[in-house]
Amino acid sequence: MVMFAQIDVPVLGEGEHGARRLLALAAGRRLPSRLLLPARAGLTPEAQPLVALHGISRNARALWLAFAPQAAVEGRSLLVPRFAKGVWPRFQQIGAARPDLALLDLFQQAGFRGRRVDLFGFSGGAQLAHRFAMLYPHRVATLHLAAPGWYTLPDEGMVWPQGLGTGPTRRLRLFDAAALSRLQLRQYLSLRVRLWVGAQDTTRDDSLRQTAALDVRQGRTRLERAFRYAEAFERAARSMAIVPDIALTVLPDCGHDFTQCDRVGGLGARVLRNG
Amino acid sequence: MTAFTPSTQMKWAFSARRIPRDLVAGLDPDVAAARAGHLILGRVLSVGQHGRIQLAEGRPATLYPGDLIVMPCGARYAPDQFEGLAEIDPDGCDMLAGGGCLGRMVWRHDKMKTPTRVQPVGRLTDATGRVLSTGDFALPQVGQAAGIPLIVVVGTSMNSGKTTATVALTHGLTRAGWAVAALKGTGTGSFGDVNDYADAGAAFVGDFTDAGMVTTYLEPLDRVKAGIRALLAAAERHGATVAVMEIADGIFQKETAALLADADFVAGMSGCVFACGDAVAAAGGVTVLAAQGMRPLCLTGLLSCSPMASTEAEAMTGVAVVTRAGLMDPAVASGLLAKAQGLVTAPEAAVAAA
Repeated sequence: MVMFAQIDVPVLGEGEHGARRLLALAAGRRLPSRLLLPARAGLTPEAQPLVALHGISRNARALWLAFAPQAAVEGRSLLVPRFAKGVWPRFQQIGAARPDLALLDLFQQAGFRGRRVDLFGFSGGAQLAHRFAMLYPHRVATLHLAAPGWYTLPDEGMVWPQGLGTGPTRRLRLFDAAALSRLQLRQYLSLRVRLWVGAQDTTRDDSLRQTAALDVRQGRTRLERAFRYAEAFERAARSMAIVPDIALTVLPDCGHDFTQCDRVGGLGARVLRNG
Repeated sequence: MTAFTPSTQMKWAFSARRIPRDLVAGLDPDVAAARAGHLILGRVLSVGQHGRIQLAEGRPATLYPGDLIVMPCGARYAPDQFEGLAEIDPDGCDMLAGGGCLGRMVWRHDKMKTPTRVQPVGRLTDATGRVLSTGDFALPQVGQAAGIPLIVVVGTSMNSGKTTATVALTHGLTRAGWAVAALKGTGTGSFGDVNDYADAGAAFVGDFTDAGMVTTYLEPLDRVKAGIRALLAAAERHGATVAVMEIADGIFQKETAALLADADFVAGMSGCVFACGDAVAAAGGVTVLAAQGMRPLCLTGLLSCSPMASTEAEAMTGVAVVTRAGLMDPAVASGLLAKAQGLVTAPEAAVAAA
């Protein structure tokens, strides 16, 4: 008999704090990750694995500490990769480098093959999260975007990565994330999306991309840009006769600091409660 | 019927793998009555084009004069090799395919040697005297079409890149998280293709031999379609969430042309991928498919190895060319699937990848 079924067995290594360690490869680039696999099934049958992506400070440990205890209690799987600066200098973007391939590899190793995950990203991690979701909407249950510096808008009138238009100078036959995202835009706009941003995340610091065009289209601060993105998402969804499922939560007394957003704004618990 | 105990020395062909060997209990000497699917015991007279047999165990075995082999009777259509009919001459028959197909050669390609010749010994029967036939060991027939999306891979001819495309797309979709059924809907039974599908990570693999046919050449269209339905239903039962199905030979081949002209079959497809070797073939293929109301999701195959030929083809057809590497890319594969499912609202977007 030739017919058979492939069997997925997570590839795991034991680590500290109950974490198991995974290592993904994408075109030779390494992406280590911590994985929490529940000892028992989730409390609710629909509990999705949570994948949390750090920002440009690359503080994956902060995300782990924020999510792991409650995830363990709830019986949810948690995957927290760490994009090393030397290997992934611009992990927020999908193009010349392919962090999406490394994430998919991690999903498979973690035993998430075929399952949707709740995908959370903070700052630069939120940039990667929504670009990943535009390419693979079938892998995402709820998309949590916390304080990205800027967004890829669901607008074909703007050239990638600010929008989904393909630039006139793009070399033929290179990976075209804009075209591929356009192909799946309907599915992306049908996703459940939760936006999070600190009420005091209004500083225009060096980590915030600042160009005149971006300021005009998306706003001058992360707070303003979150509102603009929510509007753009809703507008694009309704233009396709999709009822958007997007909500924006402003976290009081929080700036652009994940730990503060978690401790003061309760971000971790809110995300685990699924927004 | 003569009582017969199968020998462990017999080389049992891949295309007969679904028939349990312990059912063999007799031998019917009337080989001239053989029809497609009947299991033939034969002895190798001379080794010709096929020096090896693909065993049911999944490995090739070298053939020697005097070897006892078990293969079904079948017809073959392979423009690069042989055309043959499902007829067994008691004085000697031809091995038409390495995967297991005995019959009478009609034509052979200039580059082919004469077929390996086999002396038929008899038709194998069960304990009741009934001739064992592949059709009696097929997947269950189903009435309703499966619900999973289906991407069909067609091409200009043998060796245009269909299997490569099927394997690559299977791999790309698998990496993207889909449970892919990789299927071969028509052709000649061979473990090479299905092994390649499995190696690509397919969650489910099957071909028309699982639906009871040795080859699909000269099989009635309804039987071919029923086989495809059975494969898709089995894939769905095994948890596949999408199917990629290769259709053998070129779009002018009899069964392939009939399938592509069949409204039910076309309606069951979510989309098709067209494999070809050059821009002219691409233009011709797109035109032929358009006459059946189809537009390929992309062009691929040997054509895609040449950036210049790809540019010509895209200019002439308006259909994007995707390389093997592109099909293996999970983002590209997911995009093609979305396009196949009709989820695209924008004008056709280029799905090009390195």
